[in-house]
Order: sequence, then C-alpha cells, then structure tokens
Amino acid sequence: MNRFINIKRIIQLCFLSKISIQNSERKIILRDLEKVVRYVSKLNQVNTNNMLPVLIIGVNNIYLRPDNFIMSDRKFLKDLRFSFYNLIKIKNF
Amino acid sequence: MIENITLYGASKKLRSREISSQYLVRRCFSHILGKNNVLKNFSVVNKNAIKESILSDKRYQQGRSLSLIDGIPISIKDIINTKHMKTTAASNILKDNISSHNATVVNKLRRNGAIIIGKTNLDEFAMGSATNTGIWGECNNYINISKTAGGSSGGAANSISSNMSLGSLGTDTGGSVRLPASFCGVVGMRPTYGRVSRFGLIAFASSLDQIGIVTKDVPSAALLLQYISGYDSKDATSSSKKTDNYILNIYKSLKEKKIGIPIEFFNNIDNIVIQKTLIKLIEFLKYNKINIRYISLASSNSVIATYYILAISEASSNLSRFTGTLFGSKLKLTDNKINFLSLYRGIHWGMEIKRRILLGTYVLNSHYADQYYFQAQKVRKLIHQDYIRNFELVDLIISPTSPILPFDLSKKQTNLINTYLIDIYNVGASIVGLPAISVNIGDKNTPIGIHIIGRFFDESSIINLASILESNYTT
Repeated sequence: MNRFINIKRIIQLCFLSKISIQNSERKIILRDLEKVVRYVSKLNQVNTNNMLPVLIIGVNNIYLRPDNFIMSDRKFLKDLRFSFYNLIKIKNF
Repeated sequence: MIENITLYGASKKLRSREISSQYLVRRCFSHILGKNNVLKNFSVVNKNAIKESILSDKRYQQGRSLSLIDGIPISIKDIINTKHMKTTAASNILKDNISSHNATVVNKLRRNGAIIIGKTNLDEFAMGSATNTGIWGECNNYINISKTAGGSSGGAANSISSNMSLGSLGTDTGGSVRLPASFCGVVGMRPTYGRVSRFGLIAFASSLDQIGIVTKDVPSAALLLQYISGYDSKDATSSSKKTDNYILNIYKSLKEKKIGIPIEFFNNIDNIVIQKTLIKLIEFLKYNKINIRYISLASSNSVIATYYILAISEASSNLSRFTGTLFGSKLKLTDNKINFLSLYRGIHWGMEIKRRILLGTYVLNSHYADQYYFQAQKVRKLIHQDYIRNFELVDLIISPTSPILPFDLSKKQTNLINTYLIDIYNVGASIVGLPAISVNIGDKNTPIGIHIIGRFFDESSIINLASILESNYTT
C-alpha cells in the first residue's frame, strides 16, 4: 500500500480538485485510489531509458519533439507549432 | 425484411423509391416508444424528425436528393453537441444544457440530409464500460435484457440492434464504441485519430477521444464514414489527408494482405466460447488462403495502466471547466466562492467522475508526475513503436474485441481493475491513434466481436476484412 494515501490526502485532493465529497464516499474513494495506484505503479517497472515522451507541457518547461509525434501529418504539426507559439506568447515565457 | 433494414439497404431503397424517409423515421419512433422505457437507449428525441423526413421525401420526388444518406434516421451520442436538442453528457451538471452550436459531424450529417432522430444514452461524461453511471438509467441489452449493453456508447449500439435508428455516432476513448458494438452484435468503428473532426464533442481525454460509428453492417459503416470524415479547420488535430472511397474498397481481395495475431492476446483468453471462436476464425482465414502471421505485442501488458493514467489526467483537466458559470445548471454565487463551487461540483457529479478527477489530480501532482504521468507518456511512445514495428510485418492485426461476453446487470463489477481490463484489446489502438473496427461473428444470441486494427488512415483495409468476415464467416 502506498503510505502517502490516506484520508488526509483525499481531503487535500478534494480541495485541489474543487470537489466536495461526503464522509461515506471518502472511504470508497480511498479504497479505490489505493487499488488503482497500486495497479498503475507497475508502469514504473517498464524500462523507458532514452525514451522521450510524446509531448509534455509543464509549468516552467516545454518538451516538444515533433519527430516523436504519433501523427506525421504536416498540417497537424503546423497547427500544433502555431498553438505552441501562442502558448509561449500567452504565458510570456 | 424491412424490420431489420440496414443503413446501406435503406439508402438503396430510398433511391429506388421503394420506401420513404417518413416511413423509416416513423418505424424508428415506434420502436423507441415501444421499447425505450425498458432498454433506455435514448435520452432525448428530435420532435422535428418527421417534418424533416417529409422534406427529404420531397427532395427525392423532385430528383434532387442531397446524398446517399439523405432521409436516413441517425442517432447521436448525448455528448456530441447539437444546437436544438439538449446535450447532457448524462450528467446532472449539464442536465439543462443546450449547446450554442452543432458539432462538425452533426453539421455534416444535416448538410447531407440525414435525419437526427435523437440523442443516445451513455455513461456520465463517457466514463464507464456498462452505460450505468449516467442520469438516464442503466442500458439493458436488446439481445438479452438481463445483460449489459456495454459502454460508454451503450445507447448507440443498442439503438442499432433494437432498430431504433439505422446509424449512430458514438465516441471512443478507450473502446467505448467497439465494446458495446461487440456486446450488442453490431459493427463499431473507431477511425484514425484526426480522420473525423472532434469539434463539438465534449472532451473527456482529448488525446484519446475520437468520434466513432455504430451500424448494423460493414457497408453501412463505410457509407457513414464517407460523410463524416475529412479536414476541419475548427479542430487543430484534424487531418488534411485525403479520404478514400470506402464503399469501393469493401469487396477487394485480401490475398495480398498479411494478418497478424498477437500471441499475448491469444494466450490470455479465459472464456472458452471466445477462444473456440478465435480458433475457428483462424481456420477460416487459412482456408481462404489469407496470410496469417503470429506477432508479439510485448507492450500489451502496460496498455491499461498507461491508458488510465493518461485518461484520468486529461479528464481531471478537461472537467475543470464545469464550474456552474458557463455551461448547464447555473451556480448562484455566495460569499465563499470556492466552498460553494466545491459543493456544487460535489452535488452534481456522480461517484465515477469524482473518483477519476481525484485520481487525475493525484497523478498530476508535482510530487508524483514523474512517477506516473510522464512515465505513462514515455510508455505511450513505447506502445506506439511496438505497433509501428509490427505494422512493418503485417497489414492488419486481429483479436477478440473483449475478453468476456456481456455480463449480467445484476452482477455489478465491484472490482475496479477487472472493469478496466474489459477494454484490454481495445485501448492499444486508442493510445496510438490507429483505426479499428469490431465486427460480430457470433450467433444471434451470443454476439462475439472480432477486433481489427489497421495502419494510420487505412480505414479501407479494416473495412475490407470486416466486410469479408461479415459476409462469408459462418459459426
């Protein structure tokens, strides 16, 4: 069991997600969260060394690898580049 | 038999004036009135459908029909925006929502004269595998009402099998069109990501969502795809690649094609009925001298975990826009805006949505993002490479659509992970963005879907194989 998942964490997640949940729901969500987190944690066993993700836009950084894109459609990449430049403009990077 | 008429058959009969559009629409309405209380396929029906069908009949009389789908009754999943009908996403938060615009696919259908007959039931915000989490009730399978219709496009698939509409548009994020199509014994297709515009679709997970098609047979799916696909400037991920003539490609020979069977999928089938069907199918393909090759999709063990991390992360972000100020039920602001907003979202959302949003917030949390979200993005790339590598060896990949047959509605799936695993054969194509189709090869009472995946933008080949299986394979 992930030691970081407890009722306190659920309350914190509810605050961040701006959702109120009842006490009875908290226990169910806690149980489900534990199960799912345990299940998805197995992804960390997959070796992804030297593997660059498809696209990540973080708060302070942007990794954009067009050659890594699922699609190789030129128009799609052009539109994406356009959105990317706009994002930089908006965020004032 | 006119009762079980397909979209493709109806199109032919309308052109030869053997039937009228008004007749088709009235037939659909009589099925809806007679069975919808039990099956719960529709959330809203279009009151103007009969008027529109009369106009279509006039066009046929005057010899100026708009297209091959003019006058055909088509249903739309209640998460695709329509201007004159409610779009609720089966959620309390959008219960009274009427969109200001039509989705691009709806505009395309209307421009070509199709009659939008109503909106079909789904899981709340398309999150689920049994069409039982929404406000419109649990969808009962028409073939056996004690069984599930699958989800999230359960209403769409069930509306086709119960003759309530001739074609239906659903949405497919991780198998939401293909799974219910398999459970209801109909055809469900997910085109390549970008082939069909997503403009006007209420987003669940933007990088995985795609509008899909449900019809009774493969030629009908090909015909409908012809009219809804194509570039749309309103969708940045829409592709400008030219669409094929799908109808012309239906009856091509498959002798040149190589078909791959993933050994991982083949070895993991516990259900005896599905296993036997797959063995028979392989014999059928060999008998017809179609090249078969066993391949390895080593990444298939990671697809469900990757899919859920990505889907819940994107859902958590996409659903943050429902604040009670812009869409649906309006929020009356009090002095403590944040608390009231939390309460509002808490009251209006169902358990499944809350669970996914909280999980999404958890995996995107800066402490865990490297461990979950970024890792899932990297594994997504691995899965992508795995499929691309295999498509250098084969042209198509086949597997069952689901590892199980439709389960009893009374037996609620209490184990969350088992519920997710129902989609194990479907999510690979969704993660990579490949086209896929589910075609029924089971008998009348036990539908079994076969899942065919093709290369990017090669919908023609999956339609081709699906059509051959549909017309030549016998149980």
